[in-house]
Amino acid sequence: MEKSNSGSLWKNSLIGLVFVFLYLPILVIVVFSFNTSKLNILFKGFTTKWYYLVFQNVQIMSALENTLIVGIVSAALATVIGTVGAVAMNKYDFPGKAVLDKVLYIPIVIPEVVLGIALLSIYSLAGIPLSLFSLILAHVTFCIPFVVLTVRSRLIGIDQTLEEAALDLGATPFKAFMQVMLPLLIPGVISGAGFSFALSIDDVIISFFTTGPASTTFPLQVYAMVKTGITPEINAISTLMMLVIVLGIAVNAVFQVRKIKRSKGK
Amino acid sequence: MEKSIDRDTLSVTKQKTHHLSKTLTKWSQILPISLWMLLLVVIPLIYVLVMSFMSRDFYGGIVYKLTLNNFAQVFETQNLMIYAQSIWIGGLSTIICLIIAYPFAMFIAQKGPVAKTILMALVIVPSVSNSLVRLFSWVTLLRKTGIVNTTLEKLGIINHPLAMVYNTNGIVLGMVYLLLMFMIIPIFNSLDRIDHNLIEAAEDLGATKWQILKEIIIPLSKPGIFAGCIMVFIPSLGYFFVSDVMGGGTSTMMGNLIENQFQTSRNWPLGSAISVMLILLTIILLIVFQRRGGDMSDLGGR
Amino acid sequence: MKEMIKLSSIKKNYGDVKIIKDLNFTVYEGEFLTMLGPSGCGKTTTLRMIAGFEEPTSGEILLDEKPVGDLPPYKRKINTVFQNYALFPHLTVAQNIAFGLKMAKVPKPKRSLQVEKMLKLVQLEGYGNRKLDQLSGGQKQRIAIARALINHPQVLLLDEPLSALDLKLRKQMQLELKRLQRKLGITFVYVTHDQEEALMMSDRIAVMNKGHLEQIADPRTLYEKPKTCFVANFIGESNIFYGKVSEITKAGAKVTIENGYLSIQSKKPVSESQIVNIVIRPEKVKLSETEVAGFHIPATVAEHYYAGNMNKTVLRLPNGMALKMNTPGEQVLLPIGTSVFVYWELSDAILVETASDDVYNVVDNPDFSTVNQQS
Repeated sequence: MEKSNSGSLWKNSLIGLVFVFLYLPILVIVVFSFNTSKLNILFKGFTTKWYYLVFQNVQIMSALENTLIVGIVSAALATVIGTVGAVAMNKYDFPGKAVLDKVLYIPIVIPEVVLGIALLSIYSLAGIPLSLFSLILAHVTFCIPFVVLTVRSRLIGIDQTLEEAALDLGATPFKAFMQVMLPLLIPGVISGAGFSFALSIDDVIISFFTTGPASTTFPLQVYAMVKTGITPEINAISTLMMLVIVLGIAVNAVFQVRKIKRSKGK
Repeated sequence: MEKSIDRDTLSVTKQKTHHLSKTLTKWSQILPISLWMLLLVVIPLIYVLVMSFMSRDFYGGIVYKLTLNNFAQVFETQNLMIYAQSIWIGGLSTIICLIIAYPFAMFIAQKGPVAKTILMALVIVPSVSNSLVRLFSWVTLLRKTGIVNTTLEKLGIINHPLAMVYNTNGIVLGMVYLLLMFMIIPIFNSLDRIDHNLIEAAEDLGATKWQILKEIIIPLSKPGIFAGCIMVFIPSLGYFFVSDVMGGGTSTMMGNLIENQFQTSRNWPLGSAISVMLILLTIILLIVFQRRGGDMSDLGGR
Repeated sequence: MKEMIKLSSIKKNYGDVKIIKDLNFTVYEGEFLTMLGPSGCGKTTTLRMIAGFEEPTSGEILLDEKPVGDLPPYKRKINTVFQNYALFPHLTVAQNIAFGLKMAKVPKPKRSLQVEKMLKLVQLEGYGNRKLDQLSGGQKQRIAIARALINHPQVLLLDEPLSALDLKLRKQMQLELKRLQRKLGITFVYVTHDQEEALMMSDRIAVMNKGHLEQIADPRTLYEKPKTCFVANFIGESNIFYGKVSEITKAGAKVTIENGYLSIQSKKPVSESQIVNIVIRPEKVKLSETEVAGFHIPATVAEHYYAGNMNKTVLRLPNGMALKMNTPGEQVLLPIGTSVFVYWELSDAILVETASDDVYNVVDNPDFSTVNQQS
């Protein structure tokens, strides 16, 4: 579809404006991580001290540690349960399958606060103390549906006769899954895992209700600091976290681009 | 199967164990996810429903006595005002997101495959950084003593600082900022799915660019629009931390109400009742969504 | 000869729908047997039951003279070539072919040797390291075959393997598959809806229709002596007449048909007023300017189609029936609209025992009420 140059200019301007809107706060975060003023209201001067001071802030570090532990464990658990579940739902019929399908959408669609208080209530009823354990349970719960969705969309693109071909050639059902289905599912599984991790480390609302005082998370820590003002330390650690994750996404994007280029140039 | 029994009893046993292991394999795959959803989603929500009919004792515990008091409180005027406010802010945020996201998604969908992938990835990138920190950046920028105001005052463009945050405007800004991506992605997906042949056929039949937009593109992207609206509106009703951070305590919304009952006021039954209303609202919206041909899988975000 | 596969009283239902209704036949060791029939006749379902992907609702399958029960596919010494090849996209050509051996825990060096042998057999030497998306349909087909054969199965099942290929390639592959089967001596069970393909490749053909077996025989028998109207119509082209015996003659009988009559010769005695089905192949149809003794079938030349090696002519009978006639390509053709009389050599007609529901080109509800008024 050819477009006139002026049309393209308007379109690219709009795209650019939206990106400015999206990235402006990011810019602020990065810039203010070098702020000499601890109050962080206006930029007073340049310093890199926060980048090592933050690692000495026990509160922030322990919150971050919790967040990372919960993120990794929840993502791993949710990925396993979700992947097995998605494959099973695709393959088998069982009573209540349609119900399960609808139930999986609940954590995605309902406002998080509702799920948060529901979990808090059931913990109270069941006598489960609020700790990292209750937190992980909650995080896995809202991550599983996203894993199921990503794996499912990947499953649709896989030829179902491949599994039969493997069985025909002498593979047991388990081997057929491991040797044929799983390798083809991996991109979806990794997507699901990555998505779960990202959701978990940013979660505020559900963590708010399901964690105990000793197991606070990084987002909750920030939330507590919002009233008194966010210090450049937070900006610094946020910038670092962003860098790490962006690198991961960039690498993935490069792979995707390479794949497209390769399938085109034949 | 009688003939096989005549021939080989051993093969019957083999068949039976084979059947057993098949069933075991099947159920060991189905049970984990089913049990998890049952115990940690279905049962908690049912409990919330039950609690909404219970009362609270003096110390904040739950008394198992049926009452409709909570729902009576839910419909008190002051609370109704809060719901109205939440729906207003949520609706406004949704509309603003739609107005921004639609052309944005459309322009990106018109680009080549490499550009599309990169641009959409760039849309998602900001959300890897913590939501609260990003929200607070807006506060830093737009507060009365913040960068924008001080610059504008210095340049003489304004005499008094503009109140851009710590009010309803701030809340809307916060909602739009955090949820914009969830409007962009479903709309982009539905636009990207449109068969180019349809557009070419329309051009062939004499349609102008605006007509194509109105008659073909918009109708075919309706599922994405609906999905996006749901993914923005519903969460916005419960995002209490946004109204906290950006609203400066001036506005209470439904999310804050519920949070309040469960933390400060210790009136869980009342909080449950409000949550039930929120769930009902969500269900109604979803039914409308499905009636108008919406596909649940579009609500996944990715 | 050893019975490699035996199907006894096989029935298969999906819910209330009877897909297979009491199927019985045998596949002998070393033969190329084709299951032939239109879509929905149950041939693929039967193949899948032999492979182990489906279980019969009732009945028994014997493999190598032993009942197979519900033995899973990975335990049967059978391999399948799938219609869409089902090659593993994440593996190379060599890895695909070696898959069965890997599952049987054959050590790597031995695997590689076998893979090379297979690549040579299907004429794809050197393709081992290629990725699948670089290959053509025909090449993928051959890899699917190599992958199935490497395990030295007792039986190879092929589910319409050539249907995705274009005409020329398909004809080439038909010859190759036949050659391969002869060379290896493995029992092939082939499924197709293309009767030409079946005729060319098979030792025997099992013609199926709506879940039951119409006839199972070698190609020549099926063509020259079809047992049912369905087989007569499905294999090769045919013209079918319904008639009622009006008079017994020395050779056989005189049969009244709508708007005319014809003569038949039959070894089995027929009785008066018996309803018979007569099949005459288009290449056996003859035309005459005047009536020929024993036949009264007036017709008009309606259309000619040129097919390179032959002419296909359509003749229209007074009741609307279209009669097909094939003549050699160089034959001079009668102009369209010419009135002619149709006849044939008595020995060329085939008397078919059973009519079945979907017979093509026959008059529906032949009207015999006018019969008494004629001749």
